[in-house]
Amino acid sequence: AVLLLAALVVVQAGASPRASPRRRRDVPDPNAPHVFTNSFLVKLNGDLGNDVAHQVAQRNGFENLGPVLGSHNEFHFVHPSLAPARTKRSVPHTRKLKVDPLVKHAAQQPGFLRVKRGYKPFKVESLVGPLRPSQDPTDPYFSFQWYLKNTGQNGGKPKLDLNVEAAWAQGITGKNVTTAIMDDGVDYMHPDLKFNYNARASYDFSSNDPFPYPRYTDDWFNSHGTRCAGEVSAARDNDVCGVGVAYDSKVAGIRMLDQPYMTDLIEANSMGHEPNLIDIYSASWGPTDDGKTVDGPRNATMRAIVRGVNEGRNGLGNIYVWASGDGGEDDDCNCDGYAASMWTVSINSAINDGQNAHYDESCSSTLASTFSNGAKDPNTGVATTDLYGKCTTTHSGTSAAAPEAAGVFALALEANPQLTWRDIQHLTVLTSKRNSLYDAKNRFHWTMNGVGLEFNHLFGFGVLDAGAIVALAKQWRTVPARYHCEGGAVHTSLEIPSDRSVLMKITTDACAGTDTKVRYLEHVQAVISLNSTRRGDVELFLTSPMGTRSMILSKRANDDDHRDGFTKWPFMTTHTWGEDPHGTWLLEASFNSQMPQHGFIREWTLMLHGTRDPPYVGLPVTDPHSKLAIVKKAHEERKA
Amino acid sequence: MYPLVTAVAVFAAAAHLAGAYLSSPKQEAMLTDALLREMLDPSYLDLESGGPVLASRNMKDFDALDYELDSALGPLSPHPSTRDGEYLQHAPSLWGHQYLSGGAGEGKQQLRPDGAIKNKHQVKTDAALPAYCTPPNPCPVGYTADDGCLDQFENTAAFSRDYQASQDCMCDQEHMFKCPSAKNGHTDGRNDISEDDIDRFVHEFQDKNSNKIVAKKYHVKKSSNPYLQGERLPVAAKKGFNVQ
Repeated sequence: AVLLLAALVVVQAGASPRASPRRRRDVPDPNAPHVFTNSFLVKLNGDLGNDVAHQVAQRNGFENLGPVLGSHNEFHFVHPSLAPARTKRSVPHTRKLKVDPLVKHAAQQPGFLRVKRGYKPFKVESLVGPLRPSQDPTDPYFSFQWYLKNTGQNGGKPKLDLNVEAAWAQGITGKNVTTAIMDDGVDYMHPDLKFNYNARASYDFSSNDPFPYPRYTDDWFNSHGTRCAGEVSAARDNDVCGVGVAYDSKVAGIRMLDQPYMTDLIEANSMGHEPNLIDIYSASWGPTDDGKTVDGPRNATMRAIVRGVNEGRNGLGNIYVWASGDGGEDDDCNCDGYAASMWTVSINSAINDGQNAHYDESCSSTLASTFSNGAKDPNTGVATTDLYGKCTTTHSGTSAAAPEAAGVFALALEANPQLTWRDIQHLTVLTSKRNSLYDAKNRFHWTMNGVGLEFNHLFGFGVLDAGAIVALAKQWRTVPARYHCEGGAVHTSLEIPSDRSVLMKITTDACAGTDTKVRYLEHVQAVISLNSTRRGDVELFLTSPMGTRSMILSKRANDDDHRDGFTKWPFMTTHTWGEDPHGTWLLEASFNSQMPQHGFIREWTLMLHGTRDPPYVGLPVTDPHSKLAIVKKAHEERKA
Repeated sequence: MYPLVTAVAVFAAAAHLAGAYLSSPKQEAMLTDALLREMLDPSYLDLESGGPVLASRNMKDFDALDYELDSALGPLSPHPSTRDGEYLQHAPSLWGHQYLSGGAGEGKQQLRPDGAIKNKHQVKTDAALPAYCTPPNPCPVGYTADDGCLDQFENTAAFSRDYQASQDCMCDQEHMFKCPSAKNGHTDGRNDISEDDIDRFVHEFQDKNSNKIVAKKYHVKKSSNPYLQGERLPVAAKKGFNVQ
């Protein structure tokens, strides 16, 4: 097993030079009196389209980056020889454009106040033009909300945040979107929540009534749902606590965690409650994070999720956001059937300086990350609303991360209410950022998959970027139909030796020639049955034909099961997103154990989910360094 | 028609081909159908035990399914079953609440040969499973008492505490500093509720049904909560209170 790990490191080291060097652009000083960029907003005489705009740009020495907000007559030009930031207007360049007979109007864009961040940024500004300098909310706790605006407070890393101000500056604040908090109730009388509370969409399943007000306990234990609700939609500029990610969105309470035990009925009814009134369900619960439980949704709950995804939001599909778990490195959220489901967006957390949180439970089904507590400074928790009209600065865990994601998705849904549940996942993949996220223990590195998307076992495709997801959502075209292909199966029992790994291969044509052909992957499931003398010591890796290696099961030191093993358990990975599934898939199983163990893989079925048609053809590429541009190019090269 | 699948097993260390297995086309077809039916068929929600994958399920459910697939006797099999189908309706009727008394249903008895200790009479029922106190239901913005909520409400801890204190309900020993009749209180801080607590609650519940009078006027007694029926699941909140 040690050798295997070493091999993994080598593979990743080999892949990393493909990553382009970290791009850092000097940013104009916002205090400087006048700053002009090399960007020009050009309006043509009539709806002449992108091709004409290209010609106009070319003959005047400019580069056309594409239409502004899908317009047919307004385009974004840059002049390559101009400095990206200068203190004087470039009169000759502007004049040159203005005298072109096809140009009605040309304006050099003044300096951006907002700052591009992170790795291969998706340029919000290139889509929506320069953003208005926005005012910070006046709410008293806003300065503690480093996850919304990280200025380096409490030792954090400046600009490592959800970039919500870039979304707000586009006028997107979550209007007409409802997020349901499935938890221990919501203090809907809280002055920061009461006017954003959606009573019609709320319910109390723990007490069977329509009012999910939390139950009192001496330790105020049932404050959790209220805290999560504030992260999503606490009101702005009302002098109470802080502000929600989507501060004009509605929040519903579903009280379902507060009874002595859970039942399938409560889960199912919660996840299927008012699916046309509720857009997003946020969940911060699941099987116990003790590092030895393997469990998932039961029958009724699974039906509720499938129904929500297929029929909710009047057919567009509900968004289920899931906390990946607080089990730390001893647990693997692929053993949590809720987080590992394709139909939930599983969210992990990073702390205020970019490290993973120590309690983070990682797995290959995690799609992206947001922020939570865990830094040494105890004041770096999540600031939000609290029970009985109070405020807190210490909300914590991955369960604090999930509602942040729900808030970001609420922004995306306001920007484009027609987004389906799959559109949200595609947008998440394309706009999440590596930023400065890293594994504090240096185990998991950023790796590029076969179409140039960077992923990390801990963080998925990176931290959500509200500004970018909103900008891309505005021009989004719904992805093509999804197909499900059984890529192949191995039904023969194979022994997992104690001292080395066993490899299994499935060579697949991804259902070519049938009506379920998959050429562009979304989710991949390895459905596996295995038994071993110690389940927690088994590690599983799945490698795609394009060479992307996912750790689909990590060692779980506390899991001493020797009886149940896994029976047709679907291990899911998102890492191969956008790849071509055609070719040979490799499954490696080994023991990571001091003691000799033995076991058998009894069955492996490879399930491929994705589209037959390239998913992003209708989308204009305005930034050649964006993830969208990179994936699109990879897809185009494949077609050729 | 179906994807050509070559399943090859290789031992890494030995790095030689151990063998190649072609799955039988019939088996393949069956599995494919099973997998896809849940997603594609409009009746995906009506499958009795569902397709095997695409969803994480209870392990115990899988065992039965495994058998069906392996023995090709399942409902998805192209071949008719050699046995008659079994139907839930043919099972002994379990409708309605069940009550038990006597025998092991009497609970913990301390009996002496001389009869010095009286038998405790205890009737067990599945009529209502335990629940904590019911929190107040203040009226949200735009609602009035006609909607079944509380008009007169103060959003404080004290108000909720007093409201719940008037109820006769199971004390949450994990999160209340003092429970009135906590004879069997946990000292180890575990999260589960002991059988004794549940028994006690059920007992109290029945007493309440027969003769208790509820003191505070705003306390509306709830009929039993239908959502609390069914198997108890080992599901926990990831509340993040242990990650400070």
